[in-house]
Amino acid sequence: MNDDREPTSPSDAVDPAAPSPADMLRLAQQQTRVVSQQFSRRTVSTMLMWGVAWFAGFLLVWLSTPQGGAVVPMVFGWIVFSVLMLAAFVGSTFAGTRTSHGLRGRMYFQGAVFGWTIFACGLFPGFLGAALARAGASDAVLAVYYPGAYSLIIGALFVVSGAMWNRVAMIVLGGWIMIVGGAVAPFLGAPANYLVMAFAGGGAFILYGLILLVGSRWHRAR
Amino acid sequence: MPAELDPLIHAPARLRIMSTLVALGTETAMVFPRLQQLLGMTAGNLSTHLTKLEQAGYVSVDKRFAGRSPVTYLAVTARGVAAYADYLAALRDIVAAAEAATSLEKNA
Repeated sequence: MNDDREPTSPSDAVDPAAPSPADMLRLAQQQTRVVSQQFSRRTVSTMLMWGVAWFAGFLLVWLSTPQGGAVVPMVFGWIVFSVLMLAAFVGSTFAGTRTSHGLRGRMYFQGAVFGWTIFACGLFPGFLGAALARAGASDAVLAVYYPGAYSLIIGALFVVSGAMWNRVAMIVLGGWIMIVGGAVAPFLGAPANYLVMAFAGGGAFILYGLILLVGSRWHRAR
Repeated sequence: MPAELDPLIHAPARLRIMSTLVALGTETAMVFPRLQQLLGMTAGNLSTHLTKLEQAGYVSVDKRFAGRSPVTYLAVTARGVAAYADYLAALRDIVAAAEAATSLEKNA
């Protein structure tokens, strides 16, 4: 079924029975927003996944330390932390590849590189940490290394992505995570740095995800 | 004098197709099923409108095989981007002129 009139000349195009120019302008703007939301929706889920993983994971690890009241067993805290981080890495890699599904060219390339880079960034700092442990790094050193290394890598990824996709809020979030997680929290030492990572890191992800979510709902309602 | 509206774009379905492909840019192509799902159109309807846009040189259609399955990639061309920009500019001119006329009538 063909749902459109078929204007054959410019004069047909302004037929009073056809949608008005104002309606057509609104339609064009609405469709551009729909396309933009298709791609930003997965950014929202990625932000919220990371936010929940960092917030709950680091908070639980802190709660397992004597300074956090040893509310949960330490082994339990670290297991849940690892599962949450793994889920966030797999989830964000999946979201990245889903975004570029059915595309070819520049956007496919950007989406695929971003998704797989996040996956690699989740994996390789772990290798480096294992190598440091093998070279004699103590648990106290590793407790400072892991959150700091992940903050710098994830923060840098966000800054570069924000520059690539022209998203200032993403650059601010990446910069914030790099400064707080990579430059400030390490000096507090463990386990205080876990608490900073939970609130300043996880909280920033959740806040950014919610800002994107409210923004897209607001656009949809207009 | 009001600007002329490109009749090839001035149809709701084709305007939505062009808005979608222009948002992706000339360097990104989308497969037919994803475009269909994004627009919520039937395959036949989408195909009819794409043929018109392709004939005008606004959209490029690249048919190839992924294994044994045929895959059709669609992208806006540079000519399509220019035509879409001209169309939107003409629309804005018409809307602005209509608003100005309405405001003059109110003040008269």
